[in-house]
Amino acid sequence: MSDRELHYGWLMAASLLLAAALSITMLPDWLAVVRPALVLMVVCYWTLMVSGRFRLLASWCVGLIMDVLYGTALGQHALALVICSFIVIKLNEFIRSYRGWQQALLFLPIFITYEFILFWMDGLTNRSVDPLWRWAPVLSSTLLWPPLSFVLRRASRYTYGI
Amino acid sequence: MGRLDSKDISPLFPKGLSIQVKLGLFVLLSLTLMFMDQRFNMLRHVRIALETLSWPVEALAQLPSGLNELAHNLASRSVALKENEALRREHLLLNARLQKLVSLEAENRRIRSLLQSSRKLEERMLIAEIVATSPDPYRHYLKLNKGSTNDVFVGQALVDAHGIMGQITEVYPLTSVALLITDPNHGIPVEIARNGLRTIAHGEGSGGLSLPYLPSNADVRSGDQLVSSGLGGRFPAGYPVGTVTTISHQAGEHFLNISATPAAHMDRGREVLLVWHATDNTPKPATAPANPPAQKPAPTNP
Repeated sequence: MSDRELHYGWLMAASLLLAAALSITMLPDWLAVVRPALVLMVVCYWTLMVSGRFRLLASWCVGLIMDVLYGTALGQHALALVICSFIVIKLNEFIRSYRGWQQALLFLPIFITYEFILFWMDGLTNRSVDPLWRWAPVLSSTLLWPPLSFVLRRASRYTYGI
Repeated sequence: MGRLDSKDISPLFPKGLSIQVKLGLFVLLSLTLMFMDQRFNMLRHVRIALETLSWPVEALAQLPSGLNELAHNLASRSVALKENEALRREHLLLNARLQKLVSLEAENRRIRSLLQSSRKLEERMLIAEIVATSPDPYRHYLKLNKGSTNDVFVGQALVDAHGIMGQITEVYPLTSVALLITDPNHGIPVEIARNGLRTIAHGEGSGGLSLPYLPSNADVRSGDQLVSSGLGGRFPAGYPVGTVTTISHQAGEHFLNISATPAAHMDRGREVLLVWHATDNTPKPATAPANPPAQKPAPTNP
């Protein structure tokens, strides 16, 4: 890791903490159904923007924490997050050449992959889920991607002047 | 022309594992963890450690509701006075009812002693506060602020002022997780208070209960009260569980479609009660072996 990437550390940790807290904070039922996968989005953003050696390991560890927070089988969110960040690493240059809405549309299949893995693992671990509303977070995450990436880019520019 | 740093040139033969291999390792590791966690329940200590690690996240997530409570605490005096008045009236009413209950309890105990039954009526209770609810609307559980340091145990019943709410499924040192009776993976043995008909109530996942095991000729009416039967030893007997709302029967089907609303206020309030009830392993008089080995009721029991 270069110095610059180390410097991002605080911002990364803070944004991940906030995203994790927002994803378990109490919401009314109708809002909880469309709650975007904030942790996935933040992990995707940092995987996209920062190149380092520990990207897969970091997203896997974040996934483990998510499993504990959600009370799911240990490894479920970790698996989904590590596969998504692998896709982001592989398509890094391609995704970075787009901005805003176009980039959000590129992330749509990644969000679908994430929800699909969770859905699949829920089935394997005998948890009943609603098969239709399950996909609502995919749409809300896609819609929220442009503002989120804007805010994070602004935050890193403001904090580190890069 | 600038000089290239050695670290800017990607090596022809990279040291370490390639990213595909790393991904494979992580996937394998995740699947192993899930398998060990779900099938053999071997990762309790890892879970407890991670739970402790993720405490800041939970504290942050509780901040909004904490602020909400603060605002509520600062609500105007007149509201507080009105609430106080209402509570005072309710207290009086309940006290009057309690007096009657005390004599009934004494009578009950006398009659039970005549029958040589050893079932205890008093139960120890502890107030626990809800720390978090399920972020997933299809899974119904609560996280409570009492754990193994308060003698909370797995399988313990959880009630509120109106009826049974659920049972404890995971216990950590300072917190515990309770599965609610409305969760689709939960079933509770109940009986209909009017005629003692025994059955099992499952959670529906949408906030209601369903009674899938009653045959089409069973004596059920809408409005019937469901109380816990105490069979299976998990829940104390006689607590209200719910009220039957709709009964439908499809021609040709063997069983009725019955749905019920839970008696407990699942989505209101911040406090719940944990119950220690006398289970089957309390010492019994000499006549104990005569007791039938009543466990899980048969699914259909008209």
